[in-house]
Amino acid sequence: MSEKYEARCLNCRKRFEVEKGAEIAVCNHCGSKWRISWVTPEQPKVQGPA
Amino acid sequence: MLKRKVAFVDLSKEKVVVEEIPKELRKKHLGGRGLNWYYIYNNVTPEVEPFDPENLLVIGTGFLTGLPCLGTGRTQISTKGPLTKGVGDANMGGAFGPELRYAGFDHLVIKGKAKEPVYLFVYNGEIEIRKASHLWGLDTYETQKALKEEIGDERVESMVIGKAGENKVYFANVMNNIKNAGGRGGTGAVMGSKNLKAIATRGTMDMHIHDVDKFIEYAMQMNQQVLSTKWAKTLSRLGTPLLYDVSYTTGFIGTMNWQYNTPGKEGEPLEAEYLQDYIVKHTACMGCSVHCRHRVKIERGEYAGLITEGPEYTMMGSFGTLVGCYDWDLVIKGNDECNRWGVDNLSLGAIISWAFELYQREILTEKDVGFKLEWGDKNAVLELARMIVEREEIGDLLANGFLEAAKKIGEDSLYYAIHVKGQPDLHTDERGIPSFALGIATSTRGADHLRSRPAIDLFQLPEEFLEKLIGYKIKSDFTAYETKGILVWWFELYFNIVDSLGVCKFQSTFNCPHCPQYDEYVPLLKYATGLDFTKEELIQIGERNYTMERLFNIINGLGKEHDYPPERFFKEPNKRGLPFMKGRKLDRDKYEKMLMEYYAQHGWDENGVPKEETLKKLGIEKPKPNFPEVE
Ligand code: SF4
Ligand SMILES: [Zn+2]
Repeated sequence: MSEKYEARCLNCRKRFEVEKGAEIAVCNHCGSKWRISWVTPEQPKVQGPA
Repeated sequence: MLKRKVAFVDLSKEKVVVEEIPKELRKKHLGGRGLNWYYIYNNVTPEVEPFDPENLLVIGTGFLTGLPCLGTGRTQISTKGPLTKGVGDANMGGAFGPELRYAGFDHLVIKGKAKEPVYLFVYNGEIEIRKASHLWGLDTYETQKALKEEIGDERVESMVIGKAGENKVYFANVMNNIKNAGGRGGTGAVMGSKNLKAIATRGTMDMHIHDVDKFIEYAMQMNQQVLSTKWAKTLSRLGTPLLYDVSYTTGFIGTMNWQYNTPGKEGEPLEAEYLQDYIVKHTACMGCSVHCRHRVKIERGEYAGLITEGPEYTMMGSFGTLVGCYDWDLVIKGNDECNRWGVDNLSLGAIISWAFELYQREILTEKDVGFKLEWGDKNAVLELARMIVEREEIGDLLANGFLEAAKKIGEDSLYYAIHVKGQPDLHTDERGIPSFALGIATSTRGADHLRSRPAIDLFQLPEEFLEKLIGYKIKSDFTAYETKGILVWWFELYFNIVDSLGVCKFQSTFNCPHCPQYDEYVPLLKYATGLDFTKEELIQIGERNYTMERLFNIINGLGKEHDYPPERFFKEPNKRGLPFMKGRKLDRDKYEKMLMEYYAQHGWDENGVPKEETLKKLGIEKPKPNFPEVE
């Protein structure tokens, strides 16, 4: 299984899981799709809308 | 740490009186912002105009400034400001404040006007008033370089004004090093009106920390607490531009003078990640381990070769979304110019974007300006900025801020000016976030995001968690109005304490609920100063200090009618953004209720005037002048 990390969704404000190194992720709470950047190899953040 | 000095400087009489800061004043106001306003409240009467020699310019270091914890490189600069004619106040990072303390002084209370340009040199317990005619006309970088050379010490730290301050542009600032700005409130203009070009300082005196070992141990623990947060990790990589990604995606970033609440897809080139291509290194204020500042270099294009520091999030609005430009080169170039001129880039950008919208609406014409003001035209942005700083043609009018300029352009134009109490707003678009809207409206220095902004409101934290953090039941939903009066009140007091201690807001509860706050400040103060404060006492000091600023505004004619966000935020709904942001605008009735909740929480009446019982409880008396007589 690949490693999972968390980012905060800008639509529902909840934390959602992001796969390690992913550039795109979908919030499992509200379905919003985001472009992801990585602050550190363990810390993803939403960069903008996908 | 308790036998610190305040210097009263009269530039007209060329005299300096030095006194010890009494312990009772520390117990009532701490230092920094709190003590600055104690001196101004007592000594600046309502008939004194901002540029009158009788106005005070007070420089204050926080009670913890210069110590190795929580980014204590801060200096507070306070005065009766030209934009609001009330509280004019700025907080500056960098290294000036610490150096001033090492030179033996915590506060400089300056009045009068020098006959010719001068600078103050503060060195190990001594203050000299020196001639500065040869520095007048130099930009802020050149001035600091000349001072280091003239004094013959590379470690001299200065706070200086540039062309904007010399020309008394109402939103001129003071600068230390390349990018540390005492940005808001027009303090640089007041400094210019006193013919005071700079204050240079160098010191090697002991700070006399009460319990050094315990202080260092606890301070290191605090620094670790900050560094372990996701917020600090993100900040130390991206700096404040990180905020752009959230605001433009969600839809709370003023665009084309707040006609829109985000540029949408067009704004993508300004995402924080793209600034990485310009960064050559990270820098920091004295004593800070977060390192949120960037040194940047433009490698290609029109401005190739430019090396500078910054920009912050503010500039991404000023020379970015507000004027319809989405180009890091312009943001970096504009930032460097603003730093050299010594001008508040936030206010400058808001005034420029206002002029652009007036041009769009044909209230201003090409004949008025001398050229076209078309959205996205970067040369027009830079040229208008220069004209304002130089007070050239229409720039002379705009340099006096919205309120005075609108009197000449036409009162209708004021609707498009996004300000509170005459002070321009950060490019945040607050119409979808009631707590932010209340915060800019009640801020004592006019529209501002650093006086109470509860940025953590955006996280929609669980209500039980918020109750533990704030001590009150606060609604988690950031679009709600109820309880947000209490939230803003809490942050007003808290930020006052942060500014009075001289710690960095980025290492406070501002953006991160896991950063240190009152509970951690109590031991820090104990180990540093030997004074025992309880959390409740600190909160009461925050209330006392804040209420004195409020009283100063009331005495100077700023009351309830000035506690409202821009009219546009009530009338025009958001046109863009995420689905829940689209269509939002402020609700007048709900806003009114929130304002009443806020007044009540402060112990103020329904007109926002502090009640007698509140003043009594806080021990605030009528102003009593106490600037020592100097002959
Ligand atoms: S976090 Fe940034 S602004 Fe705050 S003290 Fe550190 S470098 Fe300065
Ligand atoms: Zn979501």
